[in-house]
Amino acid sequence: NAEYMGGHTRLSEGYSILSRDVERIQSIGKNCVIGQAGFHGDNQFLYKVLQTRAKIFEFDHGQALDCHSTASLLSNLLYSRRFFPILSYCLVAGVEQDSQGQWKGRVYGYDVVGSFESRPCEATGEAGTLMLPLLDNQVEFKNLGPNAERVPLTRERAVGLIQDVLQAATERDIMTGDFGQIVLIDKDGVQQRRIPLRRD
Amino acid sequence: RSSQADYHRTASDVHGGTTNMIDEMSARPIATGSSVVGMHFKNGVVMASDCRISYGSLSRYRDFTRFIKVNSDTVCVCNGDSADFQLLERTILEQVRSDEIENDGIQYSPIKLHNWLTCVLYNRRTRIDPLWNNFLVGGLQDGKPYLGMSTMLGQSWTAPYGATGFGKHMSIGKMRDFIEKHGVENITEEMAVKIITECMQQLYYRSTDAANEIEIYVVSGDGCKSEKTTLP
Repeated sequence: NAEYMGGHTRLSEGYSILSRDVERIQSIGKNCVIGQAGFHGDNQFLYKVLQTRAKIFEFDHGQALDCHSTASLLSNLLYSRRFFPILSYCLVAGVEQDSQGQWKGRVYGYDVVGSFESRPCEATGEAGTLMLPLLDNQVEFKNLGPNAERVPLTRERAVGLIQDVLQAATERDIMTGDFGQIVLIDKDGVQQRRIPLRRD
Repeated sequence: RSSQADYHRTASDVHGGTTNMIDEMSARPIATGSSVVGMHFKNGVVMASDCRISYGSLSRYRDFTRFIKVNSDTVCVCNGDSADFQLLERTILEQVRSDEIENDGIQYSPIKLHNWLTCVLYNRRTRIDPLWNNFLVGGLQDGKPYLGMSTMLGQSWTAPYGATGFGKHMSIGKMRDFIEKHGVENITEEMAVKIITECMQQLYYRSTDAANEIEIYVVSGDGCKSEKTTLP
């Protein structure tokens, strides 16, 4: 009934660090956030377009975009540039109410041309491949032996897991580091916090 | 608003039809400026650039200012192609004049200029006809120091320090260290100008297209002042 998203705040260009303080996770609507990796210019452009479309939706429909609608909209926006892609590796995460009124968390992962899928957990970006196996193991309990402990994922454990996963990525990926931005989305909205990461 | 601004037109629009040479005109900068650096201090920002325009390895113009003073709170400076810089300078100053004519008290501020510049640079890059400039936009935003960077690819970010070109490699580390050690609230104008001058000196020593005539702009509560000095 809640979602966590973690990102880092380093902006790099080749071997230079342009900024240590660029936030990559931003909110759309009340219960949804988008995290973006890839080309920063395209990320900013895409976010502006998405925000504008979200506002238009609110004016047209009288209610905020919910999570799966945002996800679908993003997919269409990305595909509209199929032949000159927006180089943005996005993740959309949020909570929405299902038909019984229960709040459920969802994460959608994308490629640059808009194919998307809702999954229990997802990681993207330069270090995405470093983080995803660890998440598979601890969130979906994949590749665990029959006697291994399967610890249920509570909120505290989820925060700890995201922190660990960001630290692990920072150790092994040169482009990841400086600060981690961790965002909690639940039915009351979005909360953020920052953790320090290695600056080398 | 202005029909004279060509910044939104591609090279092939301007010349009618396409030729290979015209398509490739935007593929490299021609007459270029060297690095620029800037950083926050307690009451504002300091930015510096040198006064040389290079034409390849020729030092073409020795007294060229790459700063655009938009108003007493907003200044921007760039490196890269000087023709593209002059186009943007013309456009920005035209818009400032239009704002004066409107006379409604609304003026440019650093964040507005930064945003606009990023949009222009991003759109030109998306049309594969970039304005070959990396900008530093600095000033006072709501009384607080503001420094924003906009690259020729349309990326933008804000930070307490910024540099373009060679300065990215040589000056950012120095400014970052200084700011993290002292904290922006403890850095006076003199300290900031000293660090910036040292950065420009280092760039002069080690960068082939830097010069020793430099221009420093300080934007603070006392307004915007500029100073030209020669490095030893």
